[in-house]
Amino acid sequence: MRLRLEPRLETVKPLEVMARVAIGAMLALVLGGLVIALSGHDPLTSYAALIRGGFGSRAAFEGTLNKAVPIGLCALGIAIAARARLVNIGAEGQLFFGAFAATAVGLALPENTPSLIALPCVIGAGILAGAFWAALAAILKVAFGVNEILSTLMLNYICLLWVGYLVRGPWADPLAYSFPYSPPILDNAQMGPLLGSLNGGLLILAAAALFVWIVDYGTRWGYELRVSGDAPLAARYGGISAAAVTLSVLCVSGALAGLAGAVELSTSTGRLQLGLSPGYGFMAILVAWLGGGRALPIVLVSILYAGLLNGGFSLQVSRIPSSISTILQALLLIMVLAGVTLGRYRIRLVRGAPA
Amino acid sequence: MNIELLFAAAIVSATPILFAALGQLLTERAGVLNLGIEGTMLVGAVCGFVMTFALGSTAMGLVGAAICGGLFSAAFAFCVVTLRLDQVVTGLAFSILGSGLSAFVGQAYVGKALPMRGPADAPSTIAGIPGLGVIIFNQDAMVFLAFAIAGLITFYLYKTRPGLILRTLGESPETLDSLGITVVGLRYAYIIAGGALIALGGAYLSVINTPTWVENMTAGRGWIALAIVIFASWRPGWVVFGALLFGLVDAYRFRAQASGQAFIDPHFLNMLPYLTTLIVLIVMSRPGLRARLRAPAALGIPYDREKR
Repeated sequence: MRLRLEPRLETVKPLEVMARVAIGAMLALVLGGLVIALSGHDPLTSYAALIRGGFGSRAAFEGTLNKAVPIGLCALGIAIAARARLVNIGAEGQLFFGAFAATAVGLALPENTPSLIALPCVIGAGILAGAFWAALAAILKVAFGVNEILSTLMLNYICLLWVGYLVRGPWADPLAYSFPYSPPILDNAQMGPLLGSLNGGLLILAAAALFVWIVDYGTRWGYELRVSGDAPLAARYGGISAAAVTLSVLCVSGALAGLAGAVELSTSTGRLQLGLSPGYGFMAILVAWLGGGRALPIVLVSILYAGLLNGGFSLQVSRIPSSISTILQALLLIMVLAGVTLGRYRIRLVRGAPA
Repeated sequence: MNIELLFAAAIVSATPILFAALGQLLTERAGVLNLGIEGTMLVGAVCGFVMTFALGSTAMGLVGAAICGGLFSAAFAFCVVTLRLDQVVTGLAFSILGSGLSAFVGQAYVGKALPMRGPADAPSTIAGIPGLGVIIFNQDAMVFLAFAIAGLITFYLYKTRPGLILRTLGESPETLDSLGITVVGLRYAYIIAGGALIALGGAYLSVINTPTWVENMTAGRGWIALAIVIFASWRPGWVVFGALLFGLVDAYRFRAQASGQAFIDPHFLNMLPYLTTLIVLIVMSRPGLRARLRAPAALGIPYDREKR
């Protein structure tokens, strides 16, 4: 007996894709439930706690939406780089470099700078710095042919160490005792909550999603990205410069991650610290993929994902190890990937030797 | 700084990377990119530690780690070879899975020490010999094993028929298929063997090098191993060189920090391995070199005989 995959001739309907994603997610939850049971807890109560912690109350849901902002922004950036078949796994580093620059500006501006000037300065610094950090990988690729997966990955570690150096060394807040924090940026550059505990980040995420949507459907650049990604030879023949595409798209990708860092700084932490992101840039890789690279689904998936993350914290409260939430993330990804990929095939059990 | 001790420490730092890079080399030569390498190392580290703890034997712990790494990679192989899932996304997912699983299994063992001392701590009589004595003879058996495996793989890859088949597996699997050799089975075999080696690299850290279990203790070494395989252009001899280079940088960083002779902040010293990897990648990616140092042609492409 062996498994055989045969390609299906008919195209897969969207409804079926959704059903497959749902089945994949269910399977992941069942497998995750087994792991929870192994750890001596009740899977159903754990999942109930997970969902309550993520979506169960107004406060929980607002917290989830706030967390969805950095994940979604990074994921949009990763997705736009993927248009040109570039794999940017450096969103985490770009986010932190954005937060670093935003903090630098936020600490340097005089305390009485009006919000109308301070806020755009801080956010703008984040955008530029994120773009710069990604541009390093782009330049390495264009000039030397260095694989961007590896360079963006290495740049993550370098940036995290840089931020670690700043918050423990020259930027350590003398008033924060031994906590590795920078002093808070000026008040006028901090975005308070808009509605309940909901902050303005969600509007920025919506704007970024709209931006990606417009790039896709309304610009020449968006078209060039996809041509140079899907058909590099045709792109060259059509006069599209691969170097320009690589450079521009990675800059935009990094800018979105840098924006995420600046927004997180301005809305949530108020100061530079390593806890600014618990790995948003890495989660965003999965979210970008699960969202199929498209703007609206990415926003929705990032909200779901943020819920899982938020709910994971309530798990810890009920003394279930937080690694469960990590395992669940991985299982969800693998199962949904399997569900979607297998949709392109018909699976058969074949007896005997291969034909 | 004592040069002999520095080189001795470099070899110790190089060993886990060498195991992982050799495992990745086997996998990639077979045409599969295993981005789950970091997670596989962590699985190896935790399994090695737990089994050494439970069985009271370093050797059994290491064997157990290799078996667990093989099993973990078999699951990866099922996803990318049989189900033909995207290797990049699946690999990243397996890295996350390995990180989560190892944290989950290892949480009861955080802060515990192994019942016996690792061989690295064992007093050695040959260590008194100056020069090479310290560098070479004062090492544990796993170091020798790592370098022996590198030699074996070189011989296997270039001098034997199965090695020729392995090289073809990554270049042109359809040729093998037309000769009646099963591509799927062979890819499974090399992914599993590679995973076992990668896991040994992780176990070296937790069982022999430190010896403790700390969450996410591999700290990016899997990714560095991955970079070394590319830098070595998929040749085992260069993998050894790359791992030693990394080991030297790592040992220097560690000793400079420990001896208090560091002129710069430890954060910058800690950047060295990543900066070195980047610089090495730049040097090795020069167009002239690049033309000769080609990746296996079928790397990352799921084999589908209907598209032959």
